[in-house]
Amino acid sequence: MARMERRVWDLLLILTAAPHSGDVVTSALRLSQAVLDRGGSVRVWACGYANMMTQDTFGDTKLPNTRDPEGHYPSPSAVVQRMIADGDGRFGWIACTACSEERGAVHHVPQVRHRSPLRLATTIAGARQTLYLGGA
Amino acid sequence: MEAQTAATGTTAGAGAASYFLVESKGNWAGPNAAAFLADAAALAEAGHRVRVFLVEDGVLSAVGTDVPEIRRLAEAGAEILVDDFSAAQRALSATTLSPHVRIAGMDLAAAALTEDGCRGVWH
Amino acid sequence: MSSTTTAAGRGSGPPVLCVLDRAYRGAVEAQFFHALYGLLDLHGQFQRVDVALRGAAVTLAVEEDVYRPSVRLGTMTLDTLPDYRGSVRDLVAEDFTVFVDRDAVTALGFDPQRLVAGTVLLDPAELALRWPEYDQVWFV
Repeated sequence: MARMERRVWDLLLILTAAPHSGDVVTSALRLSQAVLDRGGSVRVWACGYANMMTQDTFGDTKLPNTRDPEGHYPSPSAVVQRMIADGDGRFGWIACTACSEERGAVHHVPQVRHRSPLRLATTIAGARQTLYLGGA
Repeated sequence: MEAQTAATGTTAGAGAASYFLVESKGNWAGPNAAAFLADAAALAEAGHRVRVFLVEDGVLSAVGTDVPEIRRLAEAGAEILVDDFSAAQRALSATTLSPHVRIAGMDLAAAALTEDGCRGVWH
Repeated sequence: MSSTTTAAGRGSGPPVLCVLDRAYRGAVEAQFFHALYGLLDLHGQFQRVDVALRGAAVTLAVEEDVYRPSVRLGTMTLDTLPDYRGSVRDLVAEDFTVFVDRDAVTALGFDPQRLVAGTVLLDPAELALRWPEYDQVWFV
């Protein structure tokens, strides 16, 4: 019987800290980009309020900046979608279904994969390196 | 019931591992950053390869010429790196950093974390 | 309304002292929408709003020339990250009093001469003594 090759990602970031709580999202995305720049692959597993990053209720832009009404400010979900598109299969984003439901953040953009926390260990097994960015 | 004392860990010997430890909280957020840096020093003193990457508010732990936690890490042979972007955000070019640290970009973190056998931990 | 207000405090809301001791909360996701923007945007509703930077937040008021409010993510250069020093300058320009904690500045090794012009260096004990001048004190 043919054996299925399982994809292995270079880096898995389990991102549980909330956006706007600190610069952890900024760090996670900068680190992701640095790995992508080396030709590597990155997956983000969003837990807790990190699931707010990819809600489809954002639209493409943030709310208007009253001090710069003509300015263009991409929304968090637009940033993630852009990284997924530009990553050409090397950048993925997973929404933890339990955390999404617990936080009432279940309306993710379509590029996000939904995964039960029961598959966390399997997801970790599919990565050469895992970092847990706590804070949920 | 009284708490038990755990057995002392072993030194690395032939089983030395390589650790890339990310400190993101820093000494201004409370004592937990110092505890994490002490973890890093203990690993280095046990013979493991240790690189510490200070990022976000973690970079504040590098401020000053004689920071005990940083000095202990350096004496144990650990490399201590300060994220360039986080340092610039916090205007650290206008102050003095420990002589034991050096500024590094996120590319260095990416390279380290994708090395075979490197173990990453984020605090 | 608020974006064109040029003096800190002219509304009917109570005088407020806003103390900021945690900064850097989400560069990519917040962009312009950070704590100092909130103060700049809302102060027109209040008679008076002043700001105190304490702890590591004093770094917001230190002039420097290395930081670029930009990060590259995918093919996008996100150059709309917070301009921390610029926001402190805006606060001063809009007649906020911006207090900066002297002990934190000293502990972090900064020369007080490098603080944003118009900010007020203050000993820690002095800030609390000013609380009675305000109806409200908010740790933001």
